[in-house]
Amino acid sequence: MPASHTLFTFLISAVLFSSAALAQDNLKETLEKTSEVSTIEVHANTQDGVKKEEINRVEAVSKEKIEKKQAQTFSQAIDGEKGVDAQTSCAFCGVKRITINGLKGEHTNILVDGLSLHSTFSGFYGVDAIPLQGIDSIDIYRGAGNALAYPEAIGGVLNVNTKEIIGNEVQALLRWSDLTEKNAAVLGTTTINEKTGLLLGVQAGEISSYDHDKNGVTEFPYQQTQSFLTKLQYQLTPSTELSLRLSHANLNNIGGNPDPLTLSGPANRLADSSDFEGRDVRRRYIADPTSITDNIQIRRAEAALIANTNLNESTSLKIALGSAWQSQDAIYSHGYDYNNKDQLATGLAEFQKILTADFFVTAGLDFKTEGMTSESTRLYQDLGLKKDNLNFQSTALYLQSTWLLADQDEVSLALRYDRLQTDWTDIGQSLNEDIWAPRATYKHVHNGVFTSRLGAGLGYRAPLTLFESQHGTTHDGFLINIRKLERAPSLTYSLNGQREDDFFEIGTQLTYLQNMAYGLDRADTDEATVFQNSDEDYLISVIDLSYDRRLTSNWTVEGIIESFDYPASYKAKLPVAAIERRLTVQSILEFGKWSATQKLTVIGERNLAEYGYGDHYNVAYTGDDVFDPDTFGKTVVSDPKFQKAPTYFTLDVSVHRHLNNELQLGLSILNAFDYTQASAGDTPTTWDLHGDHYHLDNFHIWGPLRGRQIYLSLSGNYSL
Amino acid sequence: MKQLLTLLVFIGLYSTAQATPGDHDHIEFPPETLLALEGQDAISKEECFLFITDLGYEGTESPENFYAKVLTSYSHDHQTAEAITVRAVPGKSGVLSGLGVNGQDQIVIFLPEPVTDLRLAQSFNLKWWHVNHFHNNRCVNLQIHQH
Repeated sequence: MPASHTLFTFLISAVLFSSAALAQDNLKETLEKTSEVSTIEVHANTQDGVKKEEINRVEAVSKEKIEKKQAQTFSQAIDGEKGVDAQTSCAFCGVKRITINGLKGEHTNILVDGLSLHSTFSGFYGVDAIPLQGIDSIDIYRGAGNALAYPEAIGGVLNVNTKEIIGNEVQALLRWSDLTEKNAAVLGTTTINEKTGLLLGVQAGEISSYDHDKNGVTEFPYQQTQSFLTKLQYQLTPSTELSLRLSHANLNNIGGNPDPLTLSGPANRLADSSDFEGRDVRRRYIADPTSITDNIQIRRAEAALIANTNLNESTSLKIALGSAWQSQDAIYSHGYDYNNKDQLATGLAEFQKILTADFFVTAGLDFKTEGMTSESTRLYQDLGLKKDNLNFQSTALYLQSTWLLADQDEVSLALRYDRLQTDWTDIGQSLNEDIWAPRATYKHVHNGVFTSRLGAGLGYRAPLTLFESQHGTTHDGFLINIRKLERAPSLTYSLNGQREDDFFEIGTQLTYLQNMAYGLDRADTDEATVFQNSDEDYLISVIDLSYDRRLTSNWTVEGIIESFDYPASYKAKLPVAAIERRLTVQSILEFGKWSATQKLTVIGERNLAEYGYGDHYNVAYTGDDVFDPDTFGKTVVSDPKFQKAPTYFTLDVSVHRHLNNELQLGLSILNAFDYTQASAGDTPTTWDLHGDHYHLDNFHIWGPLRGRQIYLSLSGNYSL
Repeated sequence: MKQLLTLLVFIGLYSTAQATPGDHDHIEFPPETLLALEGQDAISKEECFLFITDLGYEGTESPENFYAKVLTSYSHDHQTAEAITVRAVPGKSGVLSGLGVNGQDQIVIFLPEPVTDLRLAQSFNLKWWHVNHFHNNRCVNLQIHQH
């Protein structure tokens, strides 16, 4: 490819980073009208891995990769990607936290087609209510610098690219597992006429609860998902395209009790040590199952309207409006109920202009409003705690420019000005702050093989509720005392090398987290947990090294080593133990109609005491013979839970065969070694000691919670 | 002899009650308190109180007919155990015990054997039901609260 074309390709690719694929097509059309760029190829890259043309470091997870993971939920789809960890922080309720670069789950901002349709409320359970069948790919932006003009981005941004309607096709997927897991999804697209395209998709799935040690307490909850998705694309004028997307999803998690049990209210009695044989959480639970049952029900609807128009040959405008409604009805085995309704509206107007062949700018404004109201008989009516009801508003202006400095150098600068206003209406507190968030990326092509990318920028976020930070609390409830925005300057660097048969990358990410919001546990003194800012700052660093090699024409091997480093006081505030060292080796073998994928993951050992697991015990009881002055009221604990998580391996293997041009049959074995932390003798269920008393909890989590699963899948892809 | 001791208790409590209507920094004394005994929680070492709000005899003035209505300072989320009426326990000298009206709360007051003078109470154990779980509290080193 001629050098000038290469430069233009870089330029166009950089434009694309912040736009939905629809915008990419429009811009491409615009540019193709000019004679000088008529031969440019625009890379709408939906392949896996690093998007090599982008100025910032972006990694894409394709739909095919998601399917090979046998993912039924969004957290399963994104889990295990470089720098990403989908943590389960509650074995009963199944809450998922998707972390990037070792930051907390709430520091990951999830966008859909560039729209900020999610928040910390949806992030707690709602990520698993994102319909997978309509996803074309997921882009991962690690660090604020790489996120450029996207909002927040303390840890990074996940941008969900929804499927484009290109022609008439039907995709169907059926999947069963030996653990009675089943999933069915159908998605169809049709071009109604030359101007109109329609997408319809439905999905229903069920994941059974899992109780490896058969003691009557689950390590993974029953999960039921249903979703519906429709998208309408309409070519309003030759230069203007509209897209309307509507979705609705239900998520139902029932955990603790192996039998899916729907509760009408919190249990009348909390689980006590006498409920287990030998007062040992590893042994059989012999009491009322309602005392160990969590019920979480999520209803979520989204609507998004996006208009892209090419104003002239070098100028485009994108206007997008979106709204999301989510309700959560939860009953926790900690003895309280918590329901909330969250309404979110967001929008953006983005103007892009190519000023010269080596310089273009993007200017935009976006807003987000959110109103949340909560109800709880236990917390608010019985205990008299203040509601965490809130109104949140963000209004932002942003500018982004990209220069092609020379053949080898590109720079992109972005600046966001954000006005963030949070009012906790019942508590009577507010947090109103303006913030300037400068960000920059620099790309240098060393030679035909090596490329460096440097990103720097400020991430920020308004903390909203304790529920974004951790799974509930004890029955004492929680209070909110947030005084500052979270801020996090971050620096990322990556060097990658690309040759014909191999790809190499080494990267480092440094994030300096300030004013981190966390829950100060005061159960020792029977007081409510306080959601507050930390006085300490934390430097979180990640180093990763990856190497892909095509060994033969049909055999590819990829290896990734990641090392996460966290300060001790940061570890102590995390909801569950984070991954510190991870090795992933994956190979893909394709021969004729067959393809085989194998993925070995090794997680290094960790000192769990550093994560606050020192108060976790298998056996605990309090003397309750009221006539005995010597033993009454004294709590005795024994048999500590694991304080060191061992190094462990998991292996996923899958084989697929094309039955014909449309149908594909798959057999997958996830966690082939059948390794779970329960099989290692350490269940997530624990007695959690608080000073002189204890309660049953389920957050002693460090390893796999589900054992081996054998999947059979049948997928079809029909072009009509 | 027992009748004499009981009488002493009765007179002593009433006379002490007149001198202890006081308040405390953060402990709310029941308005009908006749006697307050102050001690330390056996685990947390924080102060704890036993309040006697009524006492007398059910029938003849004999130790086995003696009763006292007691409350404690133990609370959680601003909730406390209801008043419990304690009585002598047959076969167990040196203790007064009672069951709460909810059938779950239970208190045992330990006295020097065989005295049943509540002013000399040394400690008490309280097991009380709070919403959905029991609290087990033990208060030791009881002394008459002097305000």
